[in-house]
Amino acid sequence: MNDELTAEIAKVREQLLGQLNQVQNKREILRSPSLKSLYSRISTLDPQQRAGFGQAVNALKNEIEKLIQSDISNTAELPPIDITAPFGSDKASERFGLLTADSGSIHPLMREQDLICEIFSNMGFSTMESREIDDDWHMFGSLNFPEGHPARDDYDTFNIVQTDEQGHPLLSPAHTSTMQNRALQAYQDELKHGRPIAVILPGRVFRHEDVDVRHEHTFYQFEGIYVAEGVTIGNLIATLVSFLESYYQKNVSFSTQPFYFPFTEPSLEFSIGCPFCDQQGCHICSGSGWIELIGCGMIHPNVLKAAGIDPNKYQGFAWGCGIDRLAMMKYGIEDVRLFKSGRLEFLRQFSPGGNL
Amino acid sequence: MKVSLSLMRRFYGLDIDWNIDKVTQRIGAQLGAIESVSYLKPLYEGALIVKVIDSTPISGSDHLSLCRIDDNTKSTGVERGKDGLIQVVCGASNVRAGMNTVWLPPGSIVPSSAAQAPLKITAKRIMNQLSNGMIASPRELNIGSDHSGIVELDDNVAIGSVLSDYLQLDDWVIDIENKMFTHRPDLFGQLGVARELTAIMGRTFKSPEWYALTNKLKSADSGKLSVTNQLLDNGCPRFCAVAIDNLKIGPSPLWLQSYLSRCGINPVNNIVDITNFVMISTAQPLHAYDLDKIAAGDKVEIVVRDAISHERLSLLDGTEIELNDQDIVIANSVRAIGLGGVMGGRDSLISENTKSIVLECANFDMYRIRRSSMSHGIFTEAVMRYTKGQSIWQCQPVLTYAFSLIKELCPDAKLASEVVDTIGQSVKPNSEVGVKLNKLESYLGIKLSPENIVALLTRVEIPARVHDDQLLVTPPFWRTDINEGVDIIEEVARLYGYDYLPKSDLQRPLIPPVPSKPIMIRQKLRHILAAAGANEVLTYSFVDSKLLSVACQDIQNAYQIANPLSPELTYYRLSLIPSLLHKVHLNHKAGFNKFALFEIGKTHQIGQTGASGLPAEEDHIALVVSYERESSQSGEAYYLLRTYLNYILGSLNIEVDLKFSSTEGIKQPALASAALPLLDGRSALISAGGIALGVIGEFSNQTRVALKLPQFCAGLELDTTALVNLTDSFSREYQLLSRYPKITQDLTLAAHTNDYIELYDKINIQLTKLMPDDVRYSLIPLDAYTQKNGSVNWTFRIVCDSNLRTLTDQELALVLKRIR
Repeated sequence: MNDELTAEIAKVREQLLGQLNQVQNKREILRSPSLKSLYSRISTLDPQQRAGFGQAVNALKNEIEKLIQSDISNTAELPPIDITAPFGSDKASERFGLLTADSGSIHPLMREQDLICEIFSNMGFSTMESREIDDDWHMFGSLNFPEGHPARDDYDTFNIVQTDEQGHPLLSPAHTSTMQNRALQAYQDELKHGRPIAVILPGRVFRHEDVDVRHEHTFYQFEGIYVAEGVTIGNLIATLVSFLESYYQKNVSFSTQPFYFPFTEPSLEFSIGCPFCDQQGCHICSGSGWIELIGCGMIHPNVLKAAGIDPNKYQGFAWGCGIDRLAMMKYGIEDVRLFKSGRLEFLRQFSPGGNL
Repeated sequence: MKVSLSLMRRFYGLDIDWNIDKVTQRIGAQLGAIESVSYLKPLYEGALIVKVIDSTPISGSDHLSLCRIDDNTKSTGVERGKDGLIQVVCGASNVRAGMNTVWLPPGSIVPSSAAQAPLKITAKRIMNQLSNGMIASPRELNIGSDHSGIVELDDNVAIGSVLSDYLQLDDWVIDIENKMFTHRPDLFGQLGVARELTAIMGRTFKSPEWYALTNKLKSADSGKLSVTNQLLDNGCPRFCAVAIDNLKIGPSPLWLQSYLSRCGINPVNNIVDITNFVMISTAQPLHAYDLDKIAAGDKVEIVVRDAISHERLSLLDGTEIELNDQDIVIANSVRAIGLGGVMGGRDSLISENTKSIVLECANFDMYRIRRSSMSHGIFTEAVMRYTKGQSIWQCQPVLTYAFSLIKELCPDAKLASEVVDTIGQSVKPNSEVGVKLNKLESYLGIKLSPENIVALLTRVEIPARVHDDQLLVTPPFWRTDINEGVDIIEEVARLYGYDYLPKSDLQRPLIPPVPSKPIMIRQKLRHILAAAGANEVLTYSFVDSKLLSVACQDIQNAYQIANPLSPELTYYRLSLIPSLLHKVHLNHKAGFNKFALFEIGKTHQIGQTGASGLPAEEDHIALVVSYERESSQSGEAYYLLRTYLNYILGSLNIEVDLKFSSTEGIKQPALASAALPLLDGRSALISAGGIALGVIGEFSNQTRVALKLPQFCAGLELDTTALVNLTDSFSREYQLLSRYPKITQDLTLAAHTNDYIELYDKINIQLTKLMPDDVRYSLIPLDAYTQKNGSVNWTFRIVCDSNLRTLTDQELALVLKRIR
């Protein structure tokens, strides 16, 4: 490397070292234009110079990086304070009060979830929250999915490296149905007292699915179960309609399509006439006037058996519904990714004071 | 699953009211949701069958010909020569005088373009010659895959006839969602759907005669073909095959190509097309091997066996795979010739030189097919059908049907071997299944007469009878889904129509649910914090190793996803604060100076196990405040969060003496993780009555710099279960209002640095001792002043009253004087 190039590097080095004492965010220095221009210089040199110059530039970058790292770790942390005190004792210290209510907000998904639980609570349903790590038995086995059954493919599941205490595999539940067996067990004494099992199970679920405006790998569902003697398919439909009419505060029309879930038989897909356009066709229902909303069905006898309930005596229904979709439709939210974005621009639209 | 009404009518006598709205409504309500419906006829508006009278190359072009075509003068509004013929320019190499083909007149749309960008045909000049419309290829007409030349029709077609009549294109293609058919392998064939459609439209279906268990090929006895099925009990419960020779391979007739195309299958050649057509008809996959390519001498020995690890196979689609010992292979005595139930091998594919074939009609274990398909990432039409668990019983009738179609297209074809049929011992025919009539009734909510029920089931050819209080059915051989009572209930309910079942509200005891306290408290927390200007966020449960490391947390404690979507989503988070910090900078950048973010969520630590043996899920709430342009030199951010903490507890009606101590050596793993990004000397473990509640503090430089946090930034993370427990035992009580006035006095005392609480406790203890029994007081910190020597003067306000009397200032002053 010739002297000219050596001097060039030395000049940049001096400049960067100078910045080290001035710039507040030290990491910015690594992105400085003068360092970048040294890198872009490499390809313009003739081959004999290139290797030496490249090494020297890299060495400079490493040196600066080390300095920044040690600078950060050596920067005096803020001095200790009296952690037991209610406020600072320094003369200059300012006391801050709580922020004002007009900028606060509850997340729209939680707002919907709480509303849904409230409606079902009014209908006599208990609430039990879903888990975020579960095992194969609850996610599949107890729900009448045989081991290796192709129906499992419909649930793109995240698997967990670690196992439970007995060495059973763990996974991230892909539906709130993962709670059915627990809820049936937890409330089965009700049946002995002549009362139904009526539980609503909201929670976070996970699907191995690429994210786009309509798809999320993390979203919310609510599951519902109802078990008693002599429960009919018509009871299932009437219950869902009652809920939806309360939720949308209007009459809703509905239709059902046969469906398949291993854990219900018969299984249905429940659609409602679009409540936003009164079935005239709009962007929310893609012009069809109908929205597929809820997967549901009569709980499979094997699911009851797995929870220790006699399917000859008792029967019931279950359903599952996505909360993100309900909220998107209700508020006209165009992109499902906004829910987990943490962006105040989005969140504060749900504040009493509106945005800002 | 695409079905063609025309196909079902032509082959299965589908005899229903052709009102498409009614048909789709019934399918939706009684079979499964419809993805799309398309009517084909309008696509072929104007398309006519014509004869090419002459064809002369256009000079100056290397491929265009000027043709004159005869349409029997059926088309109107088109320019004709004196002889009534129409002039068209054609670029196909196979155009020639005397051939019959398909012509699209000016004004029509190219059918293959209709779905995306409709291409309208005009009369225009090409190479200075007027071209009226165009002569089309099978692909342009959506009736085949060939685009190498124009359609060639038989000599005996009627010139001038309408294409859509000739190919029965007055057809509706209905795409029904596959998902509802997961347990109905029979509905992956047109025959099965025709049966259901007939029934739900109110009629009784009758399967074609060939679809009967008794239908078997009368085979030649030659000993040419042998099959050794090693997997009868664990992979291939049935394997039927027969050799056929005297074949002539060529394109299929257009009707066959057209039906395949409608159902989403690309036509290949007559033999392959027949196997595919039989598959889309009966849902039973078939495979044809070129006999000469797999024979050893004049004998073919087929072996059905487990693949050997690392064995290689070149597949039909050209990919080469390495097999594993879970795969099923079809082999000859030398090598694998197909991945059983998934895809055939390349070296025995049917080519134009093929003279003889071995036709396979087999049944494979759905679990093994699924594993093979997943492990090699191969998803074929056969895989889709086999993974639903096809009926083992239909192999022979289907093989018979396939041979009859081969005879139709290749009249010289003949069987060259006996039909070799291997069938597992453990396979049992469907047996009678029963359900109590009153159970059925209790599901339906109405009583149906036994005759009515039997009639409904008869429509789909399910023999049924009522005996005592039981409905007994014998599922026909193609039904694999009727195994217990509830399956019969589904069938009856669906055939009757869910729409017609009475909807009735639940009748149940009026008992309010016992509210879940944790859920109630979490709901309350949301409202409490939103009312204090904080914004609830929801962030992913999954984080990356980088976030864990900038939060100084130990990756060894975090559950790990084995198949993460991306590196950012690999670990379950150990605490909530880092996820919130991750959202701080982006919001400052977006112009928000001051904000408080909170999240209510779960945390997991490896090694922490819950009652059920599963990982413990600890409910936390985290709150982060961040003010971009404020200094926290004296701990302002920390003290603001303390104010929030008092507010939260106050709002939950919890009255408790909080203790703030060093975060070192926290015993609760979840709180220990939460404390790791916090700065020593500016953070504390919060506890009450010996119970750890959470942690609070500002952040270390490492965390702050990496996440670009401002100086005024602090976080609080609480164990909500501990909060819930506190609401049980430490509720604030109401105090009677005094009829006598309150008196107020201030007191200033010096404390050593960082000893506020010691001072406070000291004063409090003395006040308790010194105050007369009837006096109630509160001790409120008011102000602080740091002296030059480092000690701090704290000013407190003491407010007192009594229920019995008026207190005097002197009385209080005397008490305060004694405090030191």
